[in-house]
Amino acid sequence: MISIFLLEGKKLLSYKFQLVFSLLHPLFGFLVQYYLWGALYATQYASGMSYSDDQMFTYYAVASILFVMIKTNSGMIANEFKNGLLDNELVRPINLIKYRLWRSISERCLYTVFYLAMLFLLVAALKISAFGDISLIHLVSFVVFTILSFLISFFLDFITGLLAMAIDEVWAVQAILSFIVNFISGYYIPLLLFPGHIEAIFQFTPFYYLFYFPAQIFTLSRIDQSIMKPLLIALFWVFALVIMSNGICKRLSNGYSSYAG
Amino acid sequence: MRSIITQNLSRVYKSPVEKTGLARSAKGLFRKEFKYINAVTDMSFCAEHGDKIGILGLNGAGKSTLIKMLCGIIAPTSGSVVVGGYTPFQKKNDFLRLVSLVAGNKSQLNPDLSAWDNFRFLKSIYRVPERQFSETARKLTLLLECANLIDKQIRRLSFGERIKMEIVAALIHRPKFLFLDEPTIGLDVRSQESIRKILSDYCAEGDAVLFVTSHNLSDIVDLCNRILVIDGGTLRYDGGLAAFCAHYNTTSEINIEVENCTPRIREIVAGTGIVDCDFTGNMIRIQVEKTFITTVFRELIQKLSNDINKIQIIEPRTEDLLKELLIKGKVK
Ligand SMILES: Nc1ncnc2c1ncn2[C@@H]1O[C@H](COP(=O)(O)OP(=O)(O)O)[C@@H](O)[C@H]1O
Ligand SMILES: [Mg+2]
Repeated sequence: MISIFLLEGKKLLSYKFQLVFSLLHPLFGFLVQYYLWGALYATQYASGMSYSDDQMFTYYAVASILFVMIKTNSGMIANEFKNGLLDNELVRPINLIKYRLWRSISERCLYTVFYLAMLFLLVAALKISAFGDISLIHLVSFVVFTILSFLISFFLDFITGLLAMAIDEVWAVQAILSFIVNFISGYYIPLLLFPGHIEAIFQFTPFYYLFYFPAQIFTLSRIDQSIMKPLLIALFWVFALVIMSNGICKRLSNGYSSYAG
Repeated sequence: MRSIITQNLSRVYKSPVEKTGLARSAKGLFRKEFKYINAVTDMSFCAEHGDKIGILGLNGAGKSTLIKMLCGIIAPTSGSVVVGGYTPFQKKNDFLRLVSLVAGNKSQLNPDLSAWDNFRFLKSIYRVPERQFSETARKLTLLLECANLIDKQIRRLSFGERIKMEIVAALIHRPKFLFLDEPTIGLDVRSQESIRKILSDYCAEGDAVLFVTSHNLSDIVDLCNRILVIDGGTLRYDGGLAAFCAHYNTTSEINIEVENCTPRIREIVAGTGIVDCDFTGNMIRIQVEKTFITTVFRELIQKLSNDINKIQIIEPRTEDLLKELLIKGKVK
């Protein structure tokens, strides 16, 4: 475990440019949202909004941090499976899922540290007022929900990757799925702004816990409300997804045919 | 103790038929046609500890498929295989700790890390004791003359250098079953020899079972005491290398160099009890049944004593014999 974690970090650090450049995507994403919503809040349309402008900036800042924290590429297993690249892992005493999980954790820790530094510089440079008053309890519950969010994201990606493979067009399907998932999990627009009872329904889906709920902890101080229900729902999804992943993984490895060589 | 037993082992690949033309490939999106390839059919054999088995066969014979089933990467379609008391495909960790695979065409190492980091990683997943690890790694890298490359990223190594690292990596956890799929492709003669030396030393030390496929027949002749000859997915021969040669090597060759190859000489040669002969210039190559070799030899000397410049009996080299058998498909 530890060795997988450390080696992955070492590997990533040997590609520092790639690391920094891949982080520019969420950073610019945040900037775009910042100016977009900033412009909107300057008009009269913003008067009926559920968020203040500071809350909105906080939401997008946290969403962009989450984007970095939970973005895994466990779905890549589909390509490796399809192209017969799993021989090496299958012949060693390692678990396909655990191996990827530890590598992802390592990768995300590293990326997060770098991203926080970059975001901090940006926020300081633009004098954006976000993160009003953060209490310890907010921080703790944010960490807990981020871990759950990471796990949900990891296994969701893993499963959709493998499902996409069944349809044969891995890349296209994965791209569309990831857009939909980002959308309904509130990465682009907070679910609170969606019409009607959508938020109430979505809270039972795993997507709700990817971006929206953890980001809301800071934005609306959600912590004042009961935290037990969302915690249980999120935990349920983690377990469900783990079981599904294991099942699918086992089924598929029966059909693995490597490639000629 | 029997350490590997296979019974009617078979593997059928199902692969989608690729359509040519836009309309037909669009149709293929909805309904797929498959074709079935019998890569390995009804193979039954056993192996014991200390066996060093060479797998011979032309391209597409099913060698790699057989190896992948033996080390549990792919599942057999039917039949059974037991390796060291385990069913490989169940991939029990205890089983996986006993095996090692080197495939010349597929890297088993992480290309972004150095060889040393790869070795450390393997050490930790196979739980190799520190002392055994550093001893093995040092000894092997010295023998393969690659100790100076150990800190280089795998992707920056040349092909041959990488293969050497793969061999070291394969031996770090001291496997009991060692599978090598064309390990010496693209290596220079010296590296080939050092790899063979390491492998035969390794087998001599413990009682590992070794499986090698190679188109480089010297590998087989040097390393193996037993061969499996595969043709079109079926097992054609299973037995000792020496016995194989004795069985198929029924003729010897007599080479004669003459002053001038006249029709009279041709007639005499054809008159002796030969299987086949070939005249090129003043060289005559005669194939003779082993049992008659002395009689024919004596007869030729007597009748042609004045014309012969040089005469010799040539025993075919094992490699040549194997090559000929494989190409002509004489194995039955
Ligand atoms: N993953 C695969 N899917 C479909 N057919 C395959 C696959 N792997 C191998 N084959 C086919 O099975 C046969 C045996 O292949 P292989 O075992 O790789 O042969 P060898 O290693 O002896 O050259 C070949 O005809 C090859 O085309
Ligand atoms: Mg092969």
